[in-house]
Amino acid sequence: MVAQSIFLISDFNVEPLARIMANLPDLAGIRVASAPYGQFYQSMDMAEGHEFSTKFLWSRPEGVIPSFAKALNYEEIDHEVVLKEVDDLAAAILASTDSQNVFVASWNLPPSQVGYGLLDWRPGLGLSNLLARMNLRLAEKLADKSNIYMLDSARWFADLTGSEATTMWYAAKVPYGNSILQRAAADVARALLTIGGNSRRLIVLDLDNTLWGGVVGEVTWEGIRLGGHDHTGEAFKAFQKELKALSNRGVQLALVSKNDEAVALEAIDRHPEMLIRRSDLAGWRINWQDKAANIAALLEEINLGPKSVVFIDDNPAERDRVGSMFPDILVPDWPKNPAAYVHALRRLACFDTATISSEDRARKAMYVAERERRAAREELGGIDDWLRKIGTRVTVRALGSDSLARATQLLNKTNQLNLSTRRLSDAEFSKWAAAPNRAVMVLSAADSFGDMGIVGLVSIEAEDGQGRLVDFILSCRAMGRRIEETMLYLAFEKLQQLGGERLAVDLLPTARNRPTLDVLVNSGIRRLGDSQFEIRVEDDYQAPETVEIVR
Amino acid sequence: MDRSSEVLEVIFGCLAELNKQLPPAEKVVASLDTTLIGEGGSLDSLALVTLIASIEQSLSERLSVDLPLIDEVIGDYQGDSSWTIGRLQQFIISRQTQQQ
Repeated sequence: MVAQSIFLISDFNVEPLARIMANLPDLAGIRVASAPYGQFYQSMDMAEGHEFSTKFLWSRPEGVIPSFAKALNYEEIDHEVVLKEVDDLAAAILASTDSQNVFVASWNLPPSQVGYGLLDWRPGLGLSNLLARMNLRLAEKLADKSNIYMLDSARWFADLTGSEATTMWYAAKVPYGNSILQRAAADVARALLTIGGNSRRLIVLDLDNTLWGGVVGEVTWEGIRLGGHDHTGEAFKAFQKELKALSNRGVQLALVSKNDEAVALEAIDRHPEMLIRRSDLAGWRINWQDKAANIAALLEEINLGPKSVVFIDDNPAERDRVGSMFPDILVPDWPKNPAAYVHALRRLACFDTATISSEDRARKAMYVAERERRAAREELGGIDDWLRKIGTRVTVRALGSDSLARATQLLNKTNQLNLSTRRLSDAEFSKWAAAPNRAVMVLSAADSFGDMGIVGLVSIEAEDGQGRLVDFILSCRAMGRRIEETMLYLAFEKLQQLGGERLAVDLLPTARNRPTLDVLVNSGIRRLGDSQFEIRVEDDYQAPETVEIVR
Repeated sequence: MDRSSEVLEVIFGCLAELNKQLPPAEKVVASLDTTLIGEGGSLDSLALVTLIASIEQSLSERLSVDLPLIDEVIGDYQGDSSWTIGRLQQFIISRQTQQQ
């Protein structure tokens, strides 16, 4: 399981950080420990450290790069020599990293260190220039491993208060004050939660006084405050711009608003300064019903769980209603002043992902296509007629370096249609898949509405004629189109290629993968027990006629 | 606010920060009677140094009072008598008065 424990390694006394992290509610249940003080290089290879799912390396540049310590004393140092030592450190980090996730803090100088002053950004001389090159070099060297992440420590030092704890340094070898340590702890916690797949993927927004100023039902679309030569209008437009930027990273937008739908949509379609248009929305519920009920219906339609959702509304009563009905939805307190909206959105810091795949970037278009599919399906009625009409195609490929990031993302974030719900890092999954008796297939899906990208993952392992379905994962947005049966067919076909005659399908039930059981029960394969199924050669299991398989 | 209250506010503020590092059962109560050092004290050495150092730094930054508290409170401690928060407050005020 990813992100259950973290080992802190530093050239200074990092125990206070461990203590702060151990007290963070977000990290409840996660084991935190620190390496002995002053043993940075030794600790990277400590046997104890390998027992943790994540390592966090935080060093002072002068503590781990000897030539930089000399540069800090204003000795004349060839900067290339310093960079060579950075290379050596990167090599040591890479060599000590197996399948663990590793967070590495970027380097900073204390604010009181002004270096060469006016000359401090001069190449070949200045400390600021050198440190920037060191950070870039380290990031480039570590980029070879996808399970190593650099954390930007500059954010922790964003104001001067408490940045240097001189007494604590002399007394206990803790160089930073509590405020810095607390920011570092929060950032590391955020990174851990990101690795654990806890990022939010959908923002549900109110309209009046949230996305624009004013009540559109009273002032019409021409009267709302949005953009223009109006500081409040500009603030709402900046908020929409920020939301749109998030959607480019794969975060979806939806609307839940108490309004007349036709009036609200007219504003969305016609207001010249509107940045969030229908084509940016995964869905909406604009009516006079209870917002909590509307959100429930919207999530069912979009096929996302409450843990993926942030709800933003200027009305505290609506926030309270939604927050009490959905404890798992993040409902932030929202500022009254629209000028503070952008900052409030950025502060949420819950949208990070460990990888950004092309599917993430294209997700907006995918959700819009999905909304159009649903409309077409409602018009047409029967599922098979509908699937034929939209021409569902599944492209199957063996797992490769180009699909590893997305495959791991599916492995770690999919809950509903997931046979074993195992969580592995890129490196762990790649290593697992490399065994000769295993096969991993990634599936992309497309239809006349658009390309959904990689939506499915099937892996099997075979031994002595017996096979086992290990991963059977399908993104919720592709569920219910006979792709599930297609995946079972492909798994069994692959098993036969590996010499197997029987495929065991054992479901590991979780609180959220009940849909997997339903799929297996309805798939037509043999049921052996509550959660045990199998496919045999003599069953002659066939792929659904309504799905075209492209190889 | 008089000087005595200002000093106590600094001590309690630093204590609140320290408590963020301590497990729930070990959090230190902000009270004049709470023992920091000596019999009945619950802080380990790192927590104690963290607290006294942050009080030292905070006194300097907020009240412009420069006292080597680590030396005088921890360094000179012989195990003879306990340090409560109230005693620390009075000690800081008396040392500051001497400096003036």
